[in-house]
Amino acid sequence: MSARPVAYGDAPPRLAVLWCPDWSVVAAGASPLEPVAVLYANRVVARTPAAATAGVRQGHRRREAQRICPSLRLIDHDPARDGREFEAAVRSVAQMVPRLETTEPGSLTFLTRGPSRYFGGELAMAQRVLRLVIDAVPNVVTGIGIADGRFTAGVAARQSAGQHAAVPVPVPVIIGSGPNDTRAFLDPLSVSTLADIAAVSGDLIDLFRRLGVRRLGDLAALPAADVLARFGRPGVFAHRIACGGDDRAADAVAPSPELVVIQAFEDPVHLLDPLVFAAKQLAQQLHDLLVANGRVCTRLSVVAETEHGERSEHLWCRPNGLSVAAIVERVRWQFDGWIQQPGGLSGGIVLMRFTPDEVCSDDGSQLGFWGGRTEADEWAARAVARVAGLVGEQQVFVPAWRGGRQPGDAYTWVCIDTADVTEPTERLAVVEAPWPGHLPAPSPATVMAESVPAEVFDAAGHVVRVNGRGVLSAAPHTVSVRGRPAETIAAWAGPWPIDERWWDSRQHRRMARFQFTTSSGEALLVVVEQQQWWITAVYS
Amino acid sequence: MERDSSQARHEQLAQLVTTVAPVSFARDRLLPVHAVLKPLFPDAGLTRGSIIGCSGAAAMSVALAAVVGASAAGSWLAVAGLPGLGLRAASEVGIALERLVMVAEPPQLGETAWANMVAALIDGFDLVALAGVPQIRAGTARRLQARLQARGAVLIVVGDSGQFSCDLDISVQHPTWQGLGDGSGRLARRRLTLVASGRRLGRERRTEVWLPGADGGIESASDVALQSVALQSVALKQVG
Repeated sequence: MSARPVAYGDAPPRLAVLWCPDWSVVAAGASPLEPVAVLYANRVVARTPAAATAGVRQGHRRREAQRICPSLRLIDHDPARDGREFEAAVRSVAQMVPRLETTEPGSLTFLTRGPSRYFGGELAMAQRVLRLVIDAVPNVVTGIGIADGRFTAGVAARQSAGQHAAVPVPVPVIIGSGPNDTRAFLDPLSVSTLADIAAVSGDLIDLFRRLGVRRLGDLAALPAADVLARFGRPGVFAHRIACGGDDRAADAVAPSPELVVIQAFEDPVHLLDPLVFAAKQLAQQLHDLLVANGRVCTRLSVVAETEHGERSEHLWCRPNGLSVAAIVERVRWQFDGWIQQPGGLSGGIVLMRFTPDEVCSDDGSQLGFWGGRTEADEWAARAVARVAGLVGEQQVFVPAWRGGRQPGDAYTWVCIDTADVTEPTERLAVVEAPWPGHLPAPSPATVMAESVPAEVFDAAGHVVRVNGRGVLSAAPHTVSVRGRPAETIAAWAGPWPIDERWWDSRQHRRMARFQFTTSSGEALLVVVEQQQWWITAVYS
Repeated sequence: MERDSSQARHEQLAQLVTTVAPVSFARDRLLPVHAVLKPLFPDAGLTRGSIIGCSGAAAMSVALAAVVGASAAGSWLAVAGLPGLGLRAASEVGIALERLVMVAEPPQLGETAWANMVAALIDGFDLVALAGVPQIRAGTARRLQARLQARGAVLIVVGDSGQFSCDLDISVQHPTWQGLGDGSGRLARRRLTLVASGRRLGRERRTEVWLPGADGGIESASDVALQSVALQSVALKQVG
């Protein structure tokens, strides 16, 4: 078995991967000694070493994490902050290594051949890079791995970062060159590594496990043809990586050199927003050029120059292809970090250039026939971008599920700069978790953005009160809103008391709800809280 | 000489294009509506390029009901000027929330900026719902209307339609809630008479609906109403 031939094409390039686990908490400026976690969609995505010691893990729910570590401070996830702060690390490494490539904030990849020769070997270079990053970014946890291919180097980097908690400067993990060394390193690893690092789908990993393929070595031992027959293309991809092969798409090619889009500014641009706007147009232009050939860009070089010759160059990599929105988001990270660097830029930006570095055939965006992404979705996504340009991104919203007892709580509006318009699965994943005490359907069609104060009187003209046990002083007879003439209540029901978040003194709410229909036929949802009546929603 | 003849040929060709171009009937340019509301619409669907005005007591529910069919069938809905839209009610009535976008207009939006915003919405969305239409010039409204027709979107105006001339006006008569007693029960469903009037409708069209119905959706009330009346009268006879 030791002489298994390498089944896949050329040997992968020798790469170094710098990996900063839990980058989001570092970007948020949290001290490693304080238990802090960053949440996205109610799940922990990153935590400080202190929180990790307390037992908080990625994927924990908010409540779960708070139960394990009650003093945990929670921060909302902000991809823009992650990207912006990571620029500091990128700049520090860029002093000694050219052509840095970022897949996501927190991970940096570069070819080792040139720099390792210059700095006296891979180990010396890796130690130098680590020192640069640790000096540039306070409180960072990091590690570096050098190996053949992105996947192997990524695994090595994670192992290197894993020991950082114990030692001040982590030891680089360097895997020898050649397929045998790569295999020896990969074979004992669990197949779930594929899901963590190479974004292989969890279902496939699960299937591998149930079929008894638990280690990467087990997977690599299978004949490639059988893997293709049984698991299709995703299986072949997983197999290729497990064999230590190249993890780029099989049909990835370097595009023709004339494929480049450039925007030169007559007047130097000093502000971020006009730059991002121009980037949007450039990205669209590039996208159109590529789409005409049925291709998608998987690695893009973004270059900007100022009038005084300062330069920011960055390679952005996304294995699924960079859409227009994804390009713009990355350009924003890059420029935001660059403009906000200490000392700032000495002049305005005069040139912006996008050069695709690697393209592959675009087979992932087939328009849906039965559901899925349709042309209407494309149109809408474009219109949203255009409207956001007209009225500001902070003014355009899409619904997201939140859950709650009040009619306005179940769904909330989220701003489109933090949500993906055409990918609703995550934000609208309705968890009909028990919300005991929420009013059943029908729900009010108009929910007041701010509740309207009202007064409710009984037949004798006294204000109706609800005591602590939810007992009414008298049956409500008239309701008047903001000095308008009082309306007679035709029918009513309530009180339905709720006592929410009694464990949190700031968010604690105790109220009783009522439904009224007035003599004019209007139906209202009314609450009384602290003896004050409010109209919260209208069944309009 | 040669140039003249080629120009003449171009003109001939341009004429041919207009005569040979396939005729598109209004009914081919329809977006679906909920089955219960079909009697209200001249072509039993939302005509692309038309403006629908919803006014009266239950304007918000009626506007949602009018777009339910199209939204469920895959069209995107944009709402502007409706910050109070109840999302739970929208999802209960059948609006696809994954294809819903809201624009909260900045309050100091001028006429041109507002018109640009609406034009951008019309360009990208099949269904656009507006409320609080500001004072705009008749010319601006006409230009937006022309754009609407060119793009084939449907505009729903909630409340006062201002300078827009609606192709179809839907108003509400006799809203009656059921289920709420004197200190008991809860709001269960509402019965409405929807009245549609408009240029292309000879006379008013009416239909009785439960909006919202017992589960928050739309239900027809015409036939059910007859049944309940019949049952009641039978019951009365037996007692008397």
